[in-house]
Amino acid sequence: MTIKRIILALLYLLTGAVTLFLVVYGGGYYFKSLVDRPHDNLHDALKPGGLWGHGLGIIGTLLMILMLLYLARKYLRFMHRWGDIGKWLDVHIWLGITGPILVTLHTAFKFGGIVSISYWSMMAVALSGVFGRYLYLQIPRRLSGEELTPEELQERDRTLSEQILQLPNIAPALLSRLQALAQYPDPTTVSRATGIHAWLADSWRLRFQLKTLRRLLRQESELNEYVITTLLNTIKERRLFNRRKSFLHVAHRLLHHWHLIHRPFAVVMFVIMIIHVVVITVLGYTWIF
Amino acid sequence: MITRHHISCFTRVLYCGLIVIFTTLPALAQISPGKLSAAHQALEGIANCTQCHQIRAEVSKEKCLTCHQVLVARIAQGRGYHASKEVADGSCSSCHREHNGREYDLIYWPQGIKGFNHASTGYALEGAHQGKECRSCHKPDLISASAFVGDKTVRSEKTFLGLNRDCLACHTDEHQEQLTDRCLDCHTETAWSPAAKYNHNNAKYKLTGKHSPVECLKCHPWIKSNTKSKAGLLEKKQRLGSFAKYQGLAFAGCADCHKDVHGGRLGADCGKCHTTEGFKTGGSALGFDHSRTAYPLQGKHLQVECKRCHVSGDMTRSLAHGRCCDCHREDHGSVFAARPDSGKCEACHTVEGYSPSRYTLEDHQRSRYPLTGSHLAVPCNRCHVPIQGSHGQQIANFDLQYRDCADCHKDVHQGQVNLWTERGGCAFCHTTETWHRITFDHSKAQFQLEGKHREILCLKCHYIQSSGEGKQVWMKPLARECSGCHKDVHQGQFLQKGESAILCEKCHQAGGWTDLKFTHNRDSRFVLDGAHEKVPCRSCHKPVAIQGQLTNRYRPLDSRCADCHQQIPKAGNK
Repeated sequence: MTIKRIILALLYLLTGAVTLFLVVYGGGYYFKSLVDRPHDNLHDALKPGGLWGHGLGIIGTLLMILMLLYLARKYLRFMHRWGDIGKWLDVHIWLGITGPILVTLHTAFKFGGIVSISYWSMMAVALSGVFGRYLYLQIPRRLSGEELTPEELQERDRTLSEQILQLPNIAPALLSRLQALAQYPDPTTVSRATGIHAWLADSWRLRFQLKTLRRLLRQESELNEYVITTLLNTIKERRLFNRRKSFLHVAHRLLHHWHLIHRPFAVVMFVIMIIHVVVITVLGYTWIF
Repeated sequence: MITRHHISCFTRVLYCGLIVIFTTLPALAQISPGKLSAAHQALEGIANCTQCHQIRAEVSKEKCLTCHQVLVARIAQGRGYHASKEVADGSCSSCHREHNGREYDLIYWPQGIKGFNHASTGYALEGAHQGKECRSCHKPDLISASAFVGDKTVRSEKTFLGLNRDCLACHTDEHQEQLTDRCLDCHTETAWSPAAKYNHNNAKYKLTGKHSPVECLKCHPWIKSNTKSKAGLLEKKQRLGSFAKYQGLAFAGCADCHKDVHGGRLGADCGKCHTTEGFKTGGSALGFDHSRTAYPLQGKHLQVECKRCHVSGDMTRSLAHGRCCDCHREDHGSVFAARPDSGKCEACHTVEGYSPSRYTLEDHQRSRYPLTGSHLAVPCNRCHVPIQGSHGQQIANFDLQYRDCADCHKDVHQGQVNLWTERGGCAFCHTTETWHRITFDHSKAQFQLEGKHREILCLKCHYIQSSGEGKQVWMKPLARECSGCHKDVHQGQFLQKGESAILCEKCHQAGGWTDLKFTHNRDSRFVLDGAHEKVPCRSCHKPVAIQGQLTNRYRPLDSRCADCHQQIPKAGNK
């Protein structure tokens, strides 16, 4: 496991721990009706304007603002040298998950008024972010996160083919079956709708096909478990590569339209959030400051 | 030229605009975190935020009090719950929390409305007030609208303000302004009745004796009310439309309340005879002049408690008093009924006391049994011995049978002299003068008294003999032989053969022991003659011991000369 993965794991662990603690600690309060909450002992602490609730809102807001650094890294030229874009995206995603959680706890599940628009916009941004992350993965990239050029795509395709050809001795019938699995149908042979459906369904289908192959290899070959796993991973990688390459154009178009949803909601969220912050600050709700 | 990039940018702007418009339109009305409560819904809207919120100062108490003016005055005066220590230092919003929706009640009772410490309002609920529903007092009918002048925020059906603490603000003036409005001077909050703190002794007319437990309404009657009670309170009284009278009651004289059962016969000053301890127990001892009645009290009657005669307790009830026995118990029964006066008590007794009786000896002498002799000295109760009366008490017995002495006296002879008493009773021998002076004529007896026998006491012969029944005079059978009474001093020397008793009368006679009728020459076989005539008896009848008793020897005595003269010298002159 790389340092990057360890740091990410720790961040998500932190998010999970904080969330779990607040849900357990404030569960009795959060699950009460709005009418009964003001009479709960935790109301003064966990209400949106309370010591804890207000703090969660401020921290959540700061995390959401920090998400904008990803855009800066992406579009500001002087920041292009500040690390891999993939790592920035990982942090961006973590902020996009943790921030809404904290803001949700800040609202104490009480949604009303104009600020609720900001909240639901935030949730739209977060959920669309999950889909965007999926689309992002459907485009073959370098380790640094940049998209592969057409030349790089061809080179990658060739490398994976050679890896499969270097497979140990396997019965010809089984080998041909493995190679067939590594391929992906040409999307031009089916309609667009059918192709997208097949694309979305391929992930599930591939999972079961690999499981079947693993069983066959155990029964009909003399390969040990390590070799079988390595072989299947290679098959899976080539299959995914072929599938992503086949739908590369579609993925690009979807990602373009995804930006048209993800960003406007983010704009709305930030605009109303700023209004909300300004209003409460003017009215004197400055937390501990 | 419009490029694809321009179209893309336009599309994004269009997206943003549509999203902002469609999402903010419904929310334009408010920017608040939630709807206000129903009480404050008029303040809904962005323009009204600063009605409650202070710029840079959150929600301020002053903002709240700007509208709730009635509280400003009460807090300034230190009145009510909002001026209490519990909340005086807190902000309004710490209790009255807003933006929780229309249904949220701004007034929250942490321990429930029943658990509210009413004492914190400065008016502690006590007694019957404690269990009442809040709205039974805090209701529009009882709330004074004048308390909220200038404060439009107060709604009488919701507020807990505006109640006057005076009792009459809620309760009907049961006394209809006869008394002061300081109800708690007499009543407690526990119950209207009885008026536990009222002390009638503080009134002009103090209650004493039997007046104390009398129900108030006995003296303070219900009269018709001229005013109406407050709605919802004391419905029963309202329905009755009456109240107890406490003013204008006459109490100078007893007759102001009490009926003169004597019909004016005994005057108007009841206190001369009666006290408040009880009409029937006041008592003559306090000065009632019984002589004004048909039966003046005299003697011992003056000391008797009234209720001993007036047992019913009703002093004015006419009592029969013609005869002593109308009150007193008849102890003697009908013993004296045969008297000419039918046995009137006053013939023997007076009101000065039952005992001693004024029945004198002279009276007794005129009775069927006049006293004579020793009877005159006998105490009455020796004859009229106490017996148990018909009521179980000890009374003198006047029902005596006095025909025979034995009716009173015991027959000490135990029937030995019945022969005589049947002829003439005890008086045949005795008189009332004395027991021992016997009048018995002994000549009528079988044994005639003669000589010395006439001189001796009866008991010398009729000696007292002790028997199982005590001492008694032994009358019969007495032996008529001398030896029946006398001792044979001759030790049987004269007992003849074939006889059971000695015939003393052959020698002795009633004239005395020495009054002998014995003639030596006639009655003995030895004739005294000669010098023998002059010889003392003892010279021949010398003392000898017979059966251990010294006695003279009479028989057998040898009649030869030598038996007596053996000591005569041979050369003598005989």
